[in-house]
Amino acid sequence: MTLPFIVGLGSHQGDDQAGWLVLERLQERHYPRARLIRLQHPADLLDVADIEQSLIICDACNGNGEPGSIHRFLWPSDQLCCRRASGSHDLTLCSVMELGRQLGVIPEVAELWALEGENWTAGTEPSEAVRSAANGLADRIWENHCHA
Amino acid sequence: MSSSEIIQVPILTRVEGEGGVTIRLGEGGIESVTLNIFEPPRLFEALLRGRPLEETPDITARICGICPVAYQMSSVHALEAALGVQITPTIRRLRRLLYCGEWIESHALHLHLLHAPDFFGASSGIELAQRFPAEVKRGLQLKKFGNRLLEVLGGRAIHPVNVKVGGFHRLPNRHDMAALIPHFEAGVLAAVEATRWVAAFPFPDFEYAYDFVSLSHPDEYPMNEGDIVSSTGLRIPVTEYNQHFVEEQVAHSTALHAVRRHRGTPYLLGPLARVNLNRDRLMPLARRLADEVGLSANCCNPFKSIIARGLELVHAYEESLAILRDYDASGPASIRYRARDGAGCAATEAPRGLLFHEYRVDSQGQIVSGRIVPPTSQNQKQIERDLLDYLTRRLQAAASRSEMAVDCERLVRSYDPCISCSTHFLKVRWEERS
Repeated sequence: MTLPFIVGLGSHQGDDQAGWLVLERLQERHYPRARLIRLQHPADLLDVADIEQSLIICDACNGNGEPGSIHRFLWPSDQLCCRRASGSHDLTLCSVMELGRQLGVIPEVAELWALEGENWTAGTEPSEAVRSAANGLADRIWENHCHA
Repeated sequence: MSSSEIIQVPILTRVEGEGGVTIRLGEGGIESVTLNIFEPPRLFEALLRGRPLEETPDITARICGICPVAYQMSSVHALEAALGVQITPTIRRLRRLLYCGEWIESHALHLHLLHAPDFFGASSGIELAQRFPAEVKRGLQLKKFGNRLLEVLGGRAIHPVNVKVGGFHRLPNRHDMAALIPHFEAGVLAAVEATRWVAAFPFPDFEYAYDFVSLSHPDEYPMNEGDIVSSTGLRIPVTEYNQHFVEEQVAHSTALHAVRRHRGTPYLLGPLARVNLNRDRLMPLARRLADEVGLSANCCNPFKSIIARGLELVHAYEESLAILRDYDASGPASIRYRARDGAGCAATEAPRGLLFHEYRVDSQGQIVSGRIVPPTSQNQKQIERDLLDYLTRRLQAAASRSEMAVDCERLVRSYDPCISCSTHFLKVRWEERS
């Protein structure tokens, strides 16, 4: 069975590195490197996604949960897209997913994992809660897809 | 007045920020049209007071996620004028390159995903992608190269962190700059195709005798330097801005409206104004393309701003490529300066038009006062005037109210307004009981 592409979205702003941390842990566990994709902008997803390949996206979020909480969504999900874009020129993950579906590059269904963060300061390290949650999530993904 | 005599567009979509339009109808036709801006005031000028002047570029950049470079450029040039700093030719060129990156990001996205859907009755860029997938992909690719340029030169694509008063924190390395060249070679061609595509759109038949205003420089297409010129004959140094332009408060908007000081008349900034006033200084390919697509010499159709935006996209790619190809990383990244009492102002060309900043600094290097006049607040009065004229014609042509509501949004989007930027100031008047 072909393993899914796993995309980690992030930036160098504290807990926003959550998606990247998931990839680092999966790499440690020898998940095939070619199927781990580290991105900074949601729009870059359109360059790397493949409609024929299953897709998992890991990103940080800022919701109501405790730092380190993990949410799972299945795309398409209304729950995920209730939030308004922060600006008309921003391409949020939701709008990129929708656009990608129209352009035929995003698979019909994708799995999205969101990790609650608390610190978004540029240049800072991720919090221990997020680091630990990212490791836990990576292990869970590995178990689901590599151990089964 | 009954509700049937008012047409409201409660929220404008595919524009930056929160705004709406109210049209009041009387027996003789349209009585008034107001662009209602209810984005909360941002109070950035007050926030700057007492802070070190070095923080100004990064603080003002936070006014906008679309045009942070414009805020950085206007602020550093104004502060350098106050401090008597002269930058090197290398820094000057790199600042133009940074600005090209911002124009590319902003124009590519607006053209393909925000404005183009209007010409095909599509409600969004996502809907447009069903019919024009190749064109939408091209738009995203064009934007992406702009992002990459800002990352290399500015440190990141949104709210770059490499700009400082006197220059840059560090110069980009030659290898990173050279790696962008193939992308920009492809980008020039893609931008040309995008402009040809939009130039063939069906444009509404509407013109207005605008007073176009932009910077103008004798040797280059305007970005960071030049006099302020208008299509009605004005030519002044930027230091005389306040003698010729004034902001006024209006009841229905949290943003100020700017007018020509002595005439009280509106004016129009942005790509159409820049192209009309500086067409002969577009880069060669962009200039030839302007002729090829038949953009008239003094185009006064606001819907055709999308063509001007396309030409500037080509220009920005061409100029970026020229700078990238002969990039020389020698020389200092920034010019040192000493704090001193002083005042300075500057205007640069944001994607949406002329952005004016002025500051007073003290001998300790702190901001005493700051003032920022963004392009959208300068365009607002003209947008209202255009809406009134255009909708009056549409009413005479028996357009329904729902059609007119759609017309409102389409016309407003053609200016690519940034409403968040425009709400920079709130005048508070205290009244005391006697």
